[in-house]
Amino acid sequence: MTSEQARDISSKALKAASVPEVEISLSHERHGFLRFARNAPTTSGLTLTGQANVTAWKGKRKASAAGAVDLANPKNAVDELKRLVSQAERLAAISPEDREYLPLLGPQKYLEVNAYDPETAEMTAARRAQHVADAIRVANERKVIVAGLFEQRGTEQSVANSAGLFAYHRGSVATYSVTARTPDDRGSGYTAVSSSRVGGLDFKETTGMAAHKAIDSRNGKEIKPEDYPTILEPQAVADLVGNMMRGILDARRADEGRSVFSAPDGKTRIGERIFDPRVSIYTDPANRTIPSRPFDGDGFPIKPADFVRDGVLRNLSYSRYWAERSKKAAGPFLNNLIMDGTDVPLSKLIANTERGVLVTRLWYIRPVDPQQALYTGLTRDGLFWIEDGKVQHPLKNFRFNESPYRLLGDIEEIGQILPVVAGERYGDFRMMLPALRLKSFRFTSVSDAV
Amino acid sequence: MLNRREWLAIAATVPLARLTAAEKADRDRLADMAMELAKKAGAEYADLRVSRYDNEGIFTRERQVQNVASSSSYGYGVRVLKKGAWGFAATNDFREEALAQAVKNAIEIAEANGAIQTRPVQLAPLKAYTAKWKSAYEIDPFTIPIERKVDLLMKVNAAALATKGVGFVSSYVRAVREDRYFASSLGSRIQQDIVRSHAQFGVTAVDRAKGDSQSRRSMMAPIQRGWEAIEQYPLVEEAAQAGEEAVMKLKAPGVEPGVYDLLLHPNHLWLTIHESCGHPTELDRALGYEANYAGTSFLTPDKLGKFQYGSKWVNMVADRIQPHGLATVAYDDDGAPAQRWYLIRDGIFIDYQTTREQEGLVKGVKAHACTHADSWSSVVFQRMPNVSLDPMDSKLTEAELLSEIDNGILILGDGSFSIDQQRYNFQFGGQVFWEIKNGKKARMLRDVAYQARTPEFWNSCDGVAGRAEYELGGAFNDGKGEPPQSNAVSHGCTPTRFRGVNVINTGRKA
Repeated sequence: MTSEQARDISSKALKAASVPEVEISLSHERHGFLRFARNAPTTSGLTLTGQANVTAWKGKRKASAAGAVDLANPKNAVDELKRLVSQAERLAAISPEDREYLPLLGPQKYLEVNAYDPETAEMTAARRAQHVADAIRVANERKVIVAGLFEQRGTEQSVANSAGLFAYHRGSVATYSVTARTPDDRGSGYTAVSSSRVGGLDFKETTGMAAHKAIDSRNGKEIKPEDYPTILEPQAVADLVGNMMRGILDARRADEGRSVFSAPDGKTRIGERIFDPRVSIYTDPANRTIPSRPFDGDGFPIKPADFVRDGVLRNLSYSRYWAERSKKAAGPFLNNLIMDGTDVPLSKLIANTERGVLVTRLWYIRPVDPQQALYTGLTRDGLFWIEDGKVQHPLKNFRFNESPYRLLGDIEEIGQILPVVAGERYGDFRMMLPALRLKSFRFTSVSDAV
Repeated sequence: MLNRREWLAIAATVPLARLTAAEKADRDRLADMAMELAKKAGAEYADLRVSRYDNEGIFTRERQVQNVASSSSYGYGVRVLKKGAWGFAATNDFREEALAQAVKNAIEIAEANGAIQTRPVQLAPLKAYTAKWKSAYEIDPFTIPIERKVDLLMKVNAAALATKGVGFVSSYVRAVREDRYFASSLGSRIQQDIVRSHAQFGVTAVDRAKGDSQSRRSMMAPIQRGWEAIEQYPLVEEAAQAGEEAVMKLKAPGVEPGVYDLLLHPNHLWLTIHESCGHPTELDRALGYEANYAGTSFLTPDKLGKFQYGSKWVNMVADRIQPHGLATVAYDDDGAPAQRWYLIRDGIFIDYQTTREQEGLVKGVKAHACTHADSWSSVVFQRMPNVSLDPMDSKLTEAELLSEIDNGILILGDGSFSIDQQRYNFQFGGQVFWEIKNGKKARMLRDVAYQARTPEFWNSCDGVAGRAEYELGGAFNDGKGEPPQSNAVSHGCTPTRFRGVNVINTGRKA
C-alpha cells in the first residue's frame, strides 16, 4: 500500500461519510516467520493482512469499528471501508456523548523517517530457511539444543481524517531470537537481535552467543536470596526499565495521584531529580538504528523528546484532552526508547565489580505496586556470580521484588548502549539501552528453573 | 502466560453483520479448491480454516463512556504438509487467484523447511467429520442494545463512586463471537459458532495526602455464555462492595511476612491452577518447543506416571467439552473431537495436553485434541484446554475449611502473578485479603502475596470443598507462542486450603 493508495482509499471512504468527523487508520502487513525448536523447523507461515480502524463522531457521540480489509485490492478496500464507516456512524448515533470530546486534528507535519528495506519486507521462505539453517548448524557444532524465531515484517500504516490530516509510514523489521540449552538441560542462554534491515543481523554470531551463555551457565550454584550489587546486561535493562517506562509516563495518572510520578497534594514530580544525574531517557522516531513511526494512533506527531534529562523528570505524556484541561501542550509520546550510555564495555563493568551478580535476562515481570513502580519477576537464561572483577561461576535463578524507579537512582556505573528486543512484552517497540552496574538489587527467593 | 489486561489497549469490538448464507456456502467451494490445489502441488495433507471473529466492547470511566468499539475480522489460512514439513499462508483476499497464491506460498514454505527438517511430521490416525456445533448460550450478547449495556455500566460506576474516598472507576462489557469453518483433505467439513461474554470494573481509592492508592477489581469471570451471564451476576452490588473494600484497603494493616495457612477462593485459585498446572502439563513445553519464549516445564517425560505433583486432594482434569468453559469446542483445529482426561490423579502426574502430531512423541501419550489458532491468520499449535481442580467426591465446605485454620489468610480475586519459565517458583497476589484467626475470619489485610514452589504448594493442599461450591474462573487472553497468540481458557475449582505457605509483604515499607 503506497502513500498515494492509502490517501486515495481513505479519501473515498471519508467522502462517503454522513457525519462531519471521521478518522480512518489503515495497516497493511506482509509477515513471514519461521520458528524452530530441537534444532529443526516447527511452525512457520506467511500472512498478508489488511486492517482498518474507523472512528466516527456524530456531534460529541463517538464510536469505533474495526476489521480486516482487503487492502491488496483498492476497489474491495474502499467498499469494505465504507461499510466500516457506516457501522461506526450507526454505533455513534446510539452512543452517549463523549465528555472528553475534542475536534479532530488538522493537517500535521511529520519527521522524515527512513525505516523501510525492500529486501527485508519481501523476503522469501527459502531465504528465511537459509538463515535458520545457518543458526542450526552453529547449534549442532556447539552441541546445544536451540529453539527460536526468525521473522520479518513489511508494514505500511496511515491515518486520515475529515479535517484533512494524512499521515503515512512504511517500515520493515527483521527479528531473530534464539535460546540455546545444553542437552543435559542444566544450562540455558538467550540472545535476540533486531534491525530494519535483515542484512544487519548476524545469525551465526547471535546463535553462538546464546550457545556460549548456555554452556557457561550449566550447574548454577545456589546462593542466599538477598540484596546484591548487580550488573544488568542491556537485555535485562530492557526487560525491566523498558517495561516500566512504557507503562508509567501518562500525565493524567500522575495528576490523579495514581502513579509513581505523583507527588503529594495532587502534584507531579516533573522538574524533580528522580534518578541518578547520569540518567537521560528520551524518544527519537528518526533514530537511524531503531527508527519508528513518527505519529500516534490519531496522527498526532511524535517528535524527539526528553522524558528524563540528567536525572530530572522533564516530561510526562499529556493526551490531547488532558493537555487542554491542564492547560499544557499535548504530548510528548513514546514510540521508541533510548537511554544514554557511555563507552564503558560490559567487560569493564565486570572488572570494576568486587562481588556481585550478573543478570543477562529477566522474565515474567509483573507490577506489584504501581504507586512505587514495584515489580516482581525472575532471572533467566544465564545468571552469574562476579568476584574480584571476574565472572566466577553460574548461579541458580532468583525471583526479585524490586523497583526500577529506585534502581535508576542507585547506579554505580553505566555501560555502552545496544539495540535490544522487547522481551516478554512482545512487539516491535524498539529500544537502545546500556548495561547498568547497580549498588544493590533485591532478590527474594531461589528458582529451580533452568 | 497471561497478558489478559493488555487487550484493553486495543480497540475492541463488535460485529454487526453476520455472514450471509451465500458467504457460508462459498466456504465449501473455497475448501474444495484449496484441497485440490494442495494435492496437485504434492501435499500429503492440507487443511483450510475460514473464520470470522467479531468483538464488541463498551468502555467507561466514572460517569462517561470512553468508547463504543466494534470489530470484525474475516479471512482464511491454508496449511499443507509436504514431505513431512509444514507450510502455512493466510490472507483476507478472497479472490480465486489469491487462494491459489496462498496455497503456493504454503507449499513453498513447506519445501523450504523440508530441506532442514530432521524428523518428518507424523500425524496420528483421524477420521473425517462433518459437523455443526454451537456453544451453549441463551441470549446473543450482540442483540442487546448499546444503551442497555451503557446503563448497566453507569449503574456499576455510580455504585462504586458512592463510597467516600473512591476516586476512580472504570468498567467495560465485552462480547466475542467466533464463526469458525474447518475443512481438511481427510474430508472433514466442520462449522463451529462460539459466543463469549464478560463484564469487568476496577475501583481505585486514593489518599492524596499520603500519596497512596488501592484498587479492587470485579471478580466476575469471562465465560462461554451469552448476555444472561452478565445479567445474572450481581455486578452493581459487587461494585458497591468493591468501593468500600478499596477504601478499607487504604487503612488496612500490611501483612506481617511469614508462614500462613491459605484458604483460596475459586475466583483467585483459577489463576494459580492456570500457571502452575495448566502450563507445565503442556507437552510442547516439556519437550522444548516453547523454550525461546514461554519456557519449558519441570514436568519432564521421565516424571510421567510417578511424580507426586500434589497431595491426594489434587485431581486436575483437562476438559474441552465442559459446558461454558472458554476453551470448550466440539472439534479442535486439526478436526479431532474434543476430549476430557486427567492430568493429575490422586496427586500423581499422569498425562499431558497434546495434539494430533504429538501422539507417540512420548511413549504411551495419546493425542488429546489441543490444536488451536487464535485467528484465521495464525498458524495452529498446541493450546490449553480448560484445566480444573476436580473436587471429586469431597463433602467439605468452605466454612469447615476455614474453621480449621488457626493463623491464615483468605484470598479473593486474582492480582499480580509471576512464575518462572519452568513453572517452579511462583508469586501471586489477590484483590481482597482477610486474616483468619482461630477458625474465624478477622480483619482485612493488605500488601499480601504468597511465594511457593509448585510441587511443595500442591502437596500442602489438605482440603478441597465439595462440588456445590464449584466456580469457573478464566481469561480471554492467555498468551503463548511466537508470533504470540491469545487463547481463552477457563479453570474451575472450589474453595481450597493449603498449609504453611510463605507470605511476603509487597508494601513499600516491607
